[in-house]
Amino acid sequence: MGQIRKIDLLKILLRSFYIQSGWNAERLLGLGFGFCLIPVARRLFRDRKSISFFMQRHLDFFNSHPYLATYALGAIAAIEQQALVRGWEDTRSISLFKTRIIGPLGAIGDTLFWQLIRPACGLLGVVLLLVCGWCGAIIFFILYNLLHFSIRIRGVFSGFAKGFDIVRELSLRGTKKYFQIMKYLVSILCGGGIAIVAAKSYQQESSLAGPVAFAAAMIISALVLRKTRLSVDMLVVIVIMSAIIIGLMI
Amino acid sequence: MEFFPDLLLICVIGGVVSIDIAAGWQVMVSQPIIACPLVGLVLGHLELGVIMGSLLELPWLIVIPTGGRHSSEANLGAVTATALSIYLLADQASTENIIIIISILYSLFVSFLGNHLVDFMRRTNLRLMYAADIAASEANLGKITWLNTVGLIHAFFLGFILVGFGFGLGWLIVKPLARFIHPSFDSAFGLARYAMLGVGFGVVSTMFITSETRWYAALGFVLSAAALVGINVF
Repeated sequence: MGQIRKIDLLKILLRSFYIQSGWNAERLLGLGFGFCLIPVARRLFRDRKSISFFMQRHLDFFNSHPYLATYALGAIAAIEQQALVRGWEDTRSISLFKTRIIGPLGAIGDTLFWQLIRPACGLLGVVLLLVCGWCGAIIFFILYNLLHFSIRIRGVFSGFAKGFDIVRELSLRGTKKYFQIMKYLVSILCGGGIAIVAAKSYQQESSLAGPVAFAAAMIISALVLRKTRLSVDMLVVIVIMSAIIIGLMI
Repeated sequence: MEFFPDLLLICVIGGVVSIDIAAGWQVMVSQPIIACPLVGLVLGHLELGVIMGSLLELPWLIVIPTGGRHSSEANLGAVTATALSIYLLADQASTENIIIIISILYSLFVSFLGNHLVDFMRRTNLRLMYAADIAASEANLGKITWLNTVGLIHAFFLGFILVGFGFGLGWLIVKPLARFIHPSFDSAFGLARYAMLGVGFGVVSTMFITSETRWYAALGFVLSAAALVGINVF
């Protein structure tokens, strides 16, 4: 019977980049999750029956933020090894663990990356694009992926080291103060970006028309998005058409 | 610029972007801030790619892909819009501002099409899932790997075909429309460009500026304004 090695964890890490390839509405990341754990199946089991049961367990429903899925993958690798070594007959605890970890992985990942890091890096990148050209794109790419890769790599090794106990580490409670500090910093960046864009538009137009159009669109967009359920696509159409009509009237 | 080699390159970029949106990697090359300058670099007009990237990056950040939810495929629309605007500008179809704004409006249609194609792709992926169940019962690990890879291939071809179709259709529809609009309307379309930036910052403000953080935003504004004045004065 094999022991999971570091190379297996690295293979899981590389496969985790494709965990969403087979996304479907019934089992969400189920196919990808099973795909990522194939190195574990190959390492731990020799007979086809055991491999078959293992894969059927892990092709089941699973959902997670894609970057944080490595926490679950690493933990499952450790738990499956433990189950094999101790001769567990009942694997329901593994399925229960997967169900329990779905919530934190989704909540933390969505809050951290989709609501904080991606818009923050996007904002910084756009401001830098406007100020110093294409290097803004490179800075966005490097900064974002430093955080992205560090979470993925940490996830698989930390998950494997802690097994079941990884659930205790994954809690929004411990991260709230860091999220708050990030929000303050991004707010400062947002305010700074507004000043830069207003100044640049005044410089390019040599009049107040540009900054006024920018400011008006920004305020209207913020109000509409807060108060209504209008989609971004419709908002873009309305704002653009309004700006053109007002521009033609002036 | 040669049309068919460029079209193939644009379609390949569309395929890569489509993979990066969700199916694989997610290293954010699919974000307009990267994808648009990349298209610009490939087609020989990096500056226009940078402009499109700065206009199209922020507005859709508020759409969060949680669970099964997905938005219109704005990233693929952005690639199409950038490629179209570069070609229209090279063809001198109209002025830069008019071309940019019309391309952005057209990209919303491409994004809308992409949205439906993604739904179709996800239904197809369900068949991969069922095939994987059979492969698992047979302990056929190679087949499970292949089925997951097929999902990736689906995503690539979705982007490849959508961007190619969108670009081709755009060339037929948007070009005569751009020629139809009189160049004297350029300044009005220029205002729309700033308005588009305003939408982006409005989105980001909605996400971050609250009653708790508004003074931080004000601080950032004041510091930035002071720095700009200082740079101008000295």
